[in-house]
Amino acid sequence: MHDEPTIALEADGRAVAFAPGKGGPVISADKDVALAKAGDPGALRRLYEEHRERVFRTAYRYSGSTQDAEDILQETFIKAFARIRTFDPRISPKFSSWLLTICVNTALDALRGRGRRKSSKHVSLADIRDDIPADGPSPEAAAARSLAVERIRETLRVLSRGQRAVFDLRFNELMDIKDIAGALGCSESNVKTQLARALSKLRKTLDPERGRS
Amino acid sequence: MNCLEFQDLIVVGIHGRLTAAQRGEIDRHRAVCEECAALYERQAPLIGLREEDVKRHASAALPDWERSWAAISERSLSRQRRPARLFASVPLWAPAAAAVLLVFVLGYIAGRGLFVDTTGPASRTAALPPSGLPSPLTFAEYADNLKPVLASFINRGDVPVPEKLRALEHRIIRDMLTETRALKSLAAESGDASRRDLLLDLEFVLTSLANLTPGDTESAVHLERMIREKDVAPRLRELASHATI
Repeated sequence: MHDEPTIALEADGRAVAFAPGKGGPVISADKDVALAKAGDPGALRRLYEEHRERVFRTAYRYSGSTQDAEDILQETFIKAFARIRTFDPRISPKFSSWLLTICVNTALDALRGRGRRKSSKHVSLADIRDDIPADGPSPEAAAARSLAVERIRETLRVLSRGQRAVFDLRFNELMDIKDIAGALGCSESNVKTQLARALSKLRKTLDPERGRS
Repeated sequence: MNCLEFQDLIVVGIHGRLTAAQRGEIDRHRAVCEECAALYERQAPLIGLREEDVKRHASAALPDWERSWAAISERSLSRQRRPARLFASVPLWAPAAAAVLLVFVLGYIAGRGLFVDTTGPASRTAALPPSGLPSPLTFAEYADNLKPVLASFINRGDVPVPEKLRALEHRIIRDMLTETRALKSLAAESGDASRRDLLLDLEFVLTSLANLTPGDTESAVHLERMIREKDVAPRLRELASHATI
């Protein structure tokens, strides 16, 4: 019996996959996404190969460790594949945006699990920049720069979880407001409000003593 | 660009990624604003540092892709390797939905007789057992009846629900709405503000559910967000742990 999903392309370029016993056609803007929704293991593999490096880079941006980033990568794809039938291109048009949002949330959960949310008052970047050595190839300079990066990352704890997610999706993943709203399931005005609050909080860490904010 | 927008771009440069256009805007503004130029000089060592670190380390120490795929596929694909089902034409969600609905309907029918009539104080008194003891209705029973309704909505998939099932769900939601309004009146009369507030939220949720049309994804997503943001499930659990009304 023929159990493999079949696929057809509509006039507008959207892909429609038909899988026996899966409850009807699955429509998606992306052929592999449509096939993956219909249960095709080959399509899952192709989606993994297409998006793995970007997901890994995003995970690393949060964790600062290759091992932790690999764990976040795996968890992201496992969650995404488990929920792939709920991916709706009408709400979140790009699969990559949807996937990166899962990655950001997974990374934030992992950070919370590591108990790194400490007191967030009176955080300043001034102390950090004074400790950065002049650019150089020495191991000491590299170690000092890594430490500075770690401290910059910790400065972000002034943000709430939602503000952090929106900020990163906008300014690290360079997603537009509409995509972020779709991927997070909220309104565009909500995204803009969260972004404004995040920027306001981070502005205060630039030079608190000058009171420019 | 004003000075505040300039500071925002400095923040983006430190914690995010600047586009070429944004770098140009920074250069243009600091050429005409001494104060912002000074701020830029102070922050310059931090700008791009984090992104450079990501590029350097995340590219140099890529994981073993095959090992990661093995871990992912083991957990993802195993769900799809189920033995052939006897009724292959029945959608996967149908048995679970039927079970949830059956439990709910049985619980609802069993609990229905225990609810007091809330049309007025006199009728409530009449509904009490002859002994004069309080009604045996508990918030736990109400919460148990409501949970499947909320769970069914939160866990909805993108597969269309058959018309008959949707009509039954709709009837149950309307009945739960009646019960919720009755309980809200009781909570208001007893002066229990936290219970009344929760029941008000639940009344709103159930009214929205009753008016939700199939395919109105945007409203469904907003309603789901509202349920999560207002912590409806934890508050319902807490309510369930309380004693009788």
